[in-house]
Amino acid sequence: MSEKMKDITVGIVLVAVGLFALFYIQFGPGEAIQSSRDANITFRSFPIAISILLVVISCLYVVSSLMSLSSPRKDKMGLDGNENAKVAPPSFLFLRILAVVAMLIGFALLIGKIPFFLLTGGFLFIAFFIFGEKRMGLNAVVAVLGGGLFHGLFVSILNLPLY
Amino acid sequence: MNITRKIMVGVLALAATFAVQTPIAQASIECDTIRMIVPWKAGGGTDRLGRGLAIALEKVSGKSVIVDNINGASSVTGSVKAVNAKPDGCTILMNGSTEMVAFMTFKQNLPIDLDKMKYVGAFYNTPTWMVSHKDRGYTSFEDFAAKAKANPGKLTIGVGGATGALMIMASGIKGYGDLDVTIVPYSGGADLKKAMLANQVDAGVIHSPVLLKEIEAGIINVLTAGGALTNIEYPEIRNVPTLESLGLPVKVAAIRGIFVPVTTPDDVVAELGGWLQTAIKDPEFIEFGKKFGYPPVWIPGDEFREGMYQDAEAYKKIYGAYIKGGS
Amino acid sequence: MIEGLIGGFGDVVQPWNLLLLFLGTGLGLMVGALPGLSSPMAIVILLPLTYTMEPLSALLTMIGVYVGTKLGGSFAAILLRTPGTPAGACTALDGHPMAERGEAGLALGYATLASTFGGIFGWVIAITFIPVLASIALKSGNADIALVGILGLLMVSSFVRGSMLKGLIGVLLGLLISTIGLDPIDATSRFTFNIVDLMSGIPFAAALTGFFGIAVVLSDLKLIGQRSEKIAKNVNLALPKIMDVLKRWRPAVIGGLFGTGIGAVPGVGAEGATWISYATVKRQSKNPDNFGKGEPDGIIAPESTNNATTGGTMVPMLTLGIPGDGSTAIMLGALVLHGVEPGVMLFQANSDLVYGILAGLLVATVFMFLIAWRAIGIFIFVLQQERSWLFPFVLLLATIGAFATVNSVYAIYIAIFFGVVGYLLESRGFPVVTIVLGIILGPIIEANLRLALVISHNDWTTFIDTWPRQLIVTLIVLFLSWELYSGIKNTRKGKHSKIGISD
Repeated sequence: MSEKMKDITVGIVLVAVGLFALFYIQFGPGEAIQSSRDANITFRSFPIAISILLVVISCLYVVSSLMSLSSPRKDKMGLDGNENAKVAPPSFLFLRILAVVAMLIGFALLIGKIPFFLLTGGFLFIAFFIFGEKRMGLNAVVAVLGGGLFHGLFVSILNLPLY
Repeated sequence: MNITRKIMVGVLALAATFAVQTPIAQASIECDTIRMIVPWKAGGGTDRLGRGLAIALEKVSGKSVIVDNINGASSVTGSVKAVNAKPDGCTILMNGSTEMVAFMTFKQNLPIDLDKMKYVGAFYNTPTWMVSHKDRGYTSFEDFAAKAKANPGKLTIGVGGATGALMIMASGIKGYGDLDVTIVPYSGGADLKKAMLANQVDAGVIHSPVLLKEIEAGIINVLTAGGALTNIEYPEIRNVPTLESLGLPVKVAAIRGIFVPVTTPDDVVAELGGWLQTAIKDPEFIEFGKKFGYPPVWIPGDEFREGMYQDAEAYKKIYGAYIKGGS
Repeated sequence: MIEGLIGGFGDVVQPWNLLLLFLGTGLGLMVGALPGLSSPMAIVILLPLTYTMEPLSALLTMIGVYVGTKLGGSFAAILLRTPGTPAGACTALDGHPMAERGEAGLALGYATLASTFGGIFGWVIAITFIPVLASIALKSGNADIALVGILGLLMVSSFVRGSMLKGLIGVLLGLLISTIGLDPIDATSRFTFNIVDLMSGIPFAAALTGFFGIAVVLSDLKLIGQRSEKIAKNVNLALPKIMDVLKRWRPAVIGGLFGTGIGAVPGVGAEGATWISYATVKRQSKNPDNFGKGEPDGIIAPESTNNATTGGTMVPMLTLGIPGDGSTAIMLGALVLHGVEPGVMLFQANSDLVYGILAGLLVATVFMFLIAWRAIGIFIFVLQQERSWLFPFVLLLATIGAFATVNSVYAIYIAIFFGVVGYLLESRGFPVVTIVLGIILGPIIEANLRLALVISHNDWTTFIDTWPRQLIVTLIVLFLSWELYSGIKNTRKGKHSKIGISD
């Protein structure tokens, strides 16, 4: 997907989010309590105002993305000021990102179901691999040490309710 | 062996198995650590009470008691976690009666309700009171009511939170007392406390003993309460009339107690209850409670349970009539 | 006051208390530097350990941690781009680019010096003006806070580098996200889709972990295989020269004032203070375009602010018994557990304790400086290891940290969600910081605005009732006009980047 298409997609998603919020708050469930039914500002007011603005400005964004020349973006805004984009990214980048997200979700689902040091050790082991470390033996050792450390810190010392 | 011997051996063997079995009087709770879930943020009133109790429980039970602050949705998240835990007495819930019941009144279809728990017992009773800054000039509830009737739509009552027992109490006062006042829902107890000290509203409804020191100093007056104040550590206000005695059927008193999952065996519940009953007699805990505002009390599980069901009924009425109202 | 303080210092300078302060501050620095561990967490853990101590000793330990985490959080922000604590998030904006240039030592040095300055400055202001600050804290009404919130929102333009549209979208998204949960006045469920956890809204710290922890790691995945050469190789431990820092007194002072002021008024939110301070300093700077690229002032301002808030939050905590943030809430709880009742009578009843706490705050700040200054080398070493080893730990810590904010798995899902959303938006050039600003300020503005209207019985003139409110409204109007004017001027001049076209 070209940069321009990605911009437009994001813009359309934002418009959709705004529209959804607008209609959901206006027609969806919820009613004010007796004492504030006649108030000028109700629980709907802020979300409606914000969603309308969001829809309008996102539309402007889509329009401006459509009109812009498809010049490759050099400098990314936000916190990522990295200029190493010239070097080729690692293989399977998209898969790696997906894998990290899946791992995090898996971690959240498994908390309390398996012992914490197993969970953290396993997480670390897989994460090292995703991040490019191929020496499995070393990965395993560090993962086990890490898992023990996390268990010691968060379960034994801090007593977090990880159950 | 002859018959007599066989019988004797048999009887001895039988006796031996009985002796080896753990007698019911001994611990049926096996874990070394009890997790007390306090479904509120660390540092708040309920949390402090829970931590004080945890210290006393440790002494009584000989186990270590750890407080887990599992925060969210007005104590629902933590409560749900507690009542869905293993029913072995190793996870207990410490929460206040009014907080739970009031939220259940405002929101339907919550993953928790009064039937889903067993009630071990309660240990601390803090009636909710209606207070006012001294500069407003109200010294009694009658003063306030008179002014409200004379100036409809002008007076304000602050509450700490748009849902919750404080809202119920204020709405009950407004509805049953037929007073045209405006209820101002601050975001929480701390916000309301600040508003009271700054005299930004005519009166406020807040859990006792918050603001007790200011009352003792004469900055704040107590107008009435949702329960008797006879045990409070400041004798001068022990006779403040309750709303009930003034003719308004509004009873709101936050009673902190211990709950366990509904499938917990009775002997476990009994053991916890025994510990709780002993813990509140611990002199350090009594000292702690008094410094907080009240000495601890013991309310047995059944009575506690009854009280909460009655609260639920009463709050539903107030909610239906004066909060949700007709359209 | 002075005699009291001298007495307080006398109490603090006992060997046992000094040791506790030292250990607490060191622990705070470490805890702060690890993403996922936070100040409230550490203080809650210490709570049971302090039961057997004297009240002053217990509080001193906690204050040490409190002060230490404010700086520690920035160390991670600078070296990893992931803040160790929410208060350090803003420092990453300029701290990390500076570290990438090979000037990690400089960045950390600026942060340390600015934090120390802010801490001391905030302390002095708090002590001197306790009565005034307490009275401002008390008298501030909901209308005042709402107006300050709106003013803060307008500062969003300071965080937008380039496309104004994207910045606005970010803020609006943040505002919309902040409406999820129970409505503050009606308690109606908004956007909760029958999920009970959503009723308490989006936990801010978890969202921050997502935006600045998980999103950063996801976005750095593309750098695998490249050594963190730039930072590791030229690890320039050279610390900033004192003269250079003294020249930058203006952002430090502005930061300190914001920190003390915002910390002193509960309800405005000490979290937002660093962002507002950064935005203000950027506007006034002679070279605003350097901000975000490694401008020292961009480190000094938020760092000074976050340590100044420690002085600020002491004011309502000690004079009114009202906490300004999570850590002070637990400290108040600790006071009660030790038999001391906080509130308006604390000063009268326990003045030794109060002076001891205040003295301890200053000593903790000094310890923080001494420990951090020596430890900068160690931090750089530890946090500059290979990405592939370090980041899995960072990810795990951030996730557990999100969990620990409310002790529920719900927070992890929130963090993951915002991590993904933040990553996607950032890759399209949206300044994610504006979303954060929206999430912080949304509730402050809406709840206080509507509450102000309830109290005034729907009378909008309440917002210009008093002279402070008139002042703030004037500032808002001036601000807006200036923004519109310069926006139009720039578009006319052909600087298209301000509005619209993505670059």
